[in-house]
Amino acid sequence: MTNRRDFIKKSALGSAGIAIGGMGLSPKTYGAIIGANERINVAVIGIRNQGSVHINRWCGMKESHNVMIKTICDADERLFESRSRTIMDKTGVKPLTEWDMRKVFDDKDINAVSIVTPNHWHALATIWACQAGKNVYVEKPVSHNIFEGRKMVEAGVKYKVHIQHGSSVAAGEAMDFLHSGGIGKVYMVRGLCLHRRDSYGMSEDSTAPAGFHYDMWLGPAPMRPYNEKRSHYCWHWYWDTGNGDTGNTGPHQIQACRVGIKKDEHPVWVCSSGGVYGFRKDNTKTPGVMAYGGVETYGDDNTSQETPNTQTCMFKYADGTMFVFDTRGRYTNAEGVNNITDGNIFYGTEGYLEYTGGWKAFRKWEKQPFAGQGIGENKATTERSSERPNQFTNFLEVIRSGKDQDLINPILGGHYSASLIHLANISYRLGGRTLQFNGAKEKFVNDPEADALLTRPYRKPFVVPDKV
Amino acid sequence: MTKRREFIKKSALGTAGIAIGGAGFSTKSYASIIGANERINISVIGVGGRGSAHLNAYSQIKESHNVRIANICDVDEKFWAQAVKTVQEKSGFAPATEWDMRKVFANKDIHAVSFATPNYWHALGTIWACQAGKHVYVEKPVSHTVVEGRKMIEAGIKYKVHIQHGSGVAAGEAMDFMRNGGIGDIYMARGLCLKPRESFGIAKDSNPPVTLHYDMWLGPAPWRQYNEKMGHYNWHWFWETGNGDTGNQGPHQLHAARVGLGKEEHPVWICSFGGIYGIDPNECAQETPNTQTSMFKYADGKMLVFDTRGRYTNAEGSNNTSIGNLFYGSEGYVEYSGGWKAFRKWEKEPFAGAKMKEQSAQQDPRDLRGSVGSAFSNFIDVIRSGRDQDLVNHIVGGHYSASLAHLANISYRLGGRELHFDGAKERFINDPEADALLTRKSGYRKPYVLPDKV
Repeated sequence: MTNRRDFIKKSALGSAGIAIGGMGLSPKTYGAIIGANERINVAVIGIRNQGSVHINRWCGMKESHNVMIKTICDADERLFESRSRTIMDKTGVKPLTEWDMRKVFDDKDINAVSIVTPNHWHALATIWACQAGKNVYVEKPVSHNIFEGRKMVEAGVKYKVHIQHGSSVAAGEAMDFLHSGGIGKVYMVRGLCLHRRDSYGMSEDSTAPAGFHYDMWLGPAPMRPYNEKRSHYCWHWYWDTGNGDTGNTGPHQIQACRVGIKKDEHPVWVCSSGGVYGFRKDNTKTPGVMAYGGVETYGDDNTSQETPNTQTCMFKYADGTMFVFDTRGRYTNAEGVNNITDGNIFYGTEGYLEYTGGWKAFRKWEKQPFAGQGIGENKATTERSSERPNQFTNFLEVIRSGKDQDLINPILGGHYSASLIHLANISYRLGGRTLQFNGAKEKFVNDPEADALLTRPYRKPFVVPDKV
Repeated sequence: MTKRREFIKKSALGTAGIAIGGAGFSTKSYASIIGANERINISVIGVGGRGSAHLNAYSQIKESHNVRIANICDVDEKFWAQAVKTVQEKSGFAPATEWDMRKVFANKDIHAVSFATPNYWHALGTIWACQAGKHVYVEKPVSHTVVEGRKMIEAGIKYKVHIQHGSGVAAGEAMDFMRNGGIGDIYMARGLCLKPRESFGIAKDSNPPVTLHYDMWLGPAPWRQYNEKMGHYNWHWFWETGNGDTGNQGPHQLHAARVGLGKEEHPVWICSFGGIYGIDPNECAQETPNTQTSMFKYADGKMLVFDTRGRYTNAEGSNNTSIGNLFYGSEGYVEYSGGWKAFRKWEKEPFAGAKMKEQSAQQDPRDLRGSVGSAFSNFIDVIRSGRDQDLVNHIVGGHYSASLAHLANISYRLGGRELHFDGAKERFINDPEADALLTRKSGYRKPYVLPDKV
């Protein structure tokens, strides 16, 4: 351990004063290495919905893993009071609060950050954190575009920090079963994101509420007037900030699909089609119902959403393995004997396997499963069957051990998973264009128009650097 | 009725001696108009596989519809004895036998022909029959290529005969329910062809059996040595003769999907990919995919997604649909297979529907929808009434449905190419390579040539 510490100290000294978002911060790589008995200080950046899950997780591991939430950070200060109280109640310690994440990275006592911002902030926040020597837990999808994901991988390597991603962990006995040939050679996987998405209505542009640092929230996205229906949670449904449901609930299933077929690589061929369907075009006002994310929803009322709620994505890997992913956000059947809505189905030469809350394997044409484990109600949350390893505790364990290879959701895999979403959405946005992808170069084959969608224009000073 | 007869007589006289397959036939349109009390004489062409269902269907309506199977025709004489026996037992009449369908068309006593040949014979057989003034019932998919389907429509119009196609009839209360807005505006249909397909093996080329008129069997397809694994039934799995399972079982579900979406037109965008999986290519000769996902988009944005999975698979929906459809609307969704179920919004229990039968991939949707043989009896009814618009499976719709399978297969064969289709011209947009696959790429083998002018 001492040797590695020294090495990192030296390399940190050798790259003084890396510019972060226009501010001069020096890397504090030292903070990334933790002694066995030292407490790990965490900051949670983004504390609204999934951010609360992170807060609860870290609080729950305070004793078992000697971890403390030192700071909570959000561009919306209105959340500070309630979240601080939660943490105080659970741990007896009141966290610091901050609206500018750069201040968090500046705090050399922070060892790790949890990034639970909107998707369009994931990469830049992660890279800044890496540059400041923090270990990073970043929510799915790891990136908002493919260029960003690669830069995150590079930042993790360069600054020798651990980056875990927050997709459901695709490990455990079902994956072991698949990988040991339980249904023969797996030649295709089908992923399902059949997740109810009612209309959240439409609103006029207005002024951001007091306490909400809108410029900071927008970050890399182009400046536009504040609009409450493009803001909290609903940012998922606009290309400037989100990636649609294929890139919201989808990443969990996409990760499981990719791991199940053992592909630590990009597909070579992609096509995706779909649309925004099932919503009215008139001005009907349906009474509101509160849904996940603190969003009031209005059935099938008119919507301003940009991302498809109905989408079929097709991928092919170099060896011919197929991957089909379906997103259906409106009224729909489920699939398989377990009525899968959020899950996967793997097709092998000897049978098939349904994978959701639990899993069931079927031999050839048999109607009854021959292997599996209790499939419960489907839940489209990050929390899966307790049988599967937990990415939060694993993250802390790896920070202590320094063994990056022990991460169960390392950034590289997260990048491959997120890229599937991005590739599908690029095809979709180009009208269902079939795309040939060169995975080694992370560029399309002879398609500059598609290449342009591999990244985005970044609004200064929120620029993902070419050289991390 | 007399007036129409006269008209057709005249027009028939005006087009003497149309060349059919190299043989000289004159049109016998007169036979295509049948008096109310006249018996309708039918020839069933292709009696080895699906043809036996045709024999049974016409035998069943022998009394009710005053119809007789006067002739059976097959290029493999080994099927004759059983076919004759079936017809004789069921109808009390022993039909004549023939191996060359051109002889059937030359027989002026035959009013209608029922095709259950392999796919690549459908169009040419139909066009020859039209030219000879016969009404036609032709199995699904109506054609082997998009161009063929168009020529069949033209032939039906030109020779004023009725052409029915043999897809599962997509009519009845489920379709009425959807057309009347039962689940609101339908924006997407999903079709499923999840039908077990085992390896049929591989064989060396050999000599054809003595009973088989192999040259005639091959017809428009390029000459090749006989191979038993490319012959009866297995022709489905080779591009020169078949259209894969998307174009075998698939046409029923593609047809229902298209009708449910209310589309009497071609899609504007197509992409399909897949492969042969779970079967060792060294142990099975098939060319067509056994696993295929096809996506279509219509001009107004409506989607059709079609899945073919021939190996071990789950089913979909509350009724474990393996052969069927799902329709997605702004107010709910419908599961459509043996029966149908409609679900309102997020409700778990259906609010409308008709009894779902146990799904079986062996069940044929032609026998599930409406009364048994309804497409057959309707065909006979229309021959008598002369009301072409009353056909439940009109050739125009059959052409739109078959074209879905063809368009998907063209995309698949071009490596999953995204295709933009101009439905009015029935040509792709700026894609000569894809256009070449709208017709038989290898050309038609003489004298089995699809005419440009029918």
